[in-house]
Amino acid sequence: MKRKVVIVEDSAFLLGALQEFFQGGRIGEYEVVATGCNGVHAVELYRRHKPDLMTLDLTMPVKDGKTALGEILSEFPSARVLVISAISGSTVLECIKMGAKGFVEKPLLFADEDFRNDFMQTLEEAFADPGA
Amino acid sequence: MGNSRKNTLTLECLQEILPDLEVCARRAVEGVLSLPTYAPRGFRWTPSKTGMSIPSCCTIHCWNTEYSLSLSVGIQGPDLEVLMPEVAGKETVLDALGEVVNVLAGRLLAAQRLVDGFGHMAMSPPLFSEGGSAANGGVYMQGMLVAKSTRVYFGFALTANGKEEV
Repeated sequence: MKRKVVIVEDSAFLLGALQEFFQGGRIGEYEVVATGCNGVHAVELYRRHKPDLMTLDLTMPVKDGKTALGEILSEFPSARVLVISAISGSTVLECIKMGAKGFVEKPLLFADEDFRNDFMQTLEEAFADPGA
Repeated sequence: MGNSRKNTLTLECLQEILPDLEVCARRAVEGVLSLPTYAPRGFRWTPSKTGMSIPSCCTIHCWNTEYSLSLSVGIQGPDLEVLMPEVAGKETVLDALGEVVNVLAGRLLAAQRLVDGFGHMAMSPPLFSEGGSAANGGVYMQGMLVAKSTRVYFGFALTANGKEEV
């Protein structure tokens, strides 16, 4: 059975690249069941789909990703959320402490094999996390 | 911190982070657009905003209690389709420019010299404009990179909160 993924990203350009990565046959076992473009969407889509994985941008309009992450984890403590952001440093550390299962730093270099391998490794580590 | 000391610190730090800014800009363009770039002339500081108007522009605002920083990336309208002909629609290319400025801001705000000089800052989502001018602020930087024969313009403006000039 394929793993259900929800992608939350306010850039349509990157949203398309992430969808292609998850569904383009490169890694095979994921199905993107929904996408959103702000933190409000993230919380609503998590409730509706209860995905195996959510990828979550941090800097978004309406409600930022960190706030959405807190709301999702308070309602679903075992949620598997992967933060994907251009922000690094203390904000990302706070997200990991809150319970995010991993972090991928932008830019998303899907044309680069090393980057793709690192991304897949991060995904496997997220799924290997016994807390999830 | 007194204003005079703050001013000195700010200008010293700005000189130091200029190379960081150019490197971050190149990496952002090359990473997001997957295009090689070159800088025909170095990024430079100007004492004030000097008529840099960018028709298709994307800006991110960053701030903390002491400073406000604006970062803009822009391109001439007709060049949008030249830059990414494989991408359908002007809006998608502008969206990609938004990601360029997003990555640039993320990398710059994590640069140790900027953190040491100005502290940690929050950042807004990208804001898009047509026919506007680039970042506003007290101390201003301009730069330009060329990617695929297209000029990509950068504007960087820093203001000490509550002051006209840093």
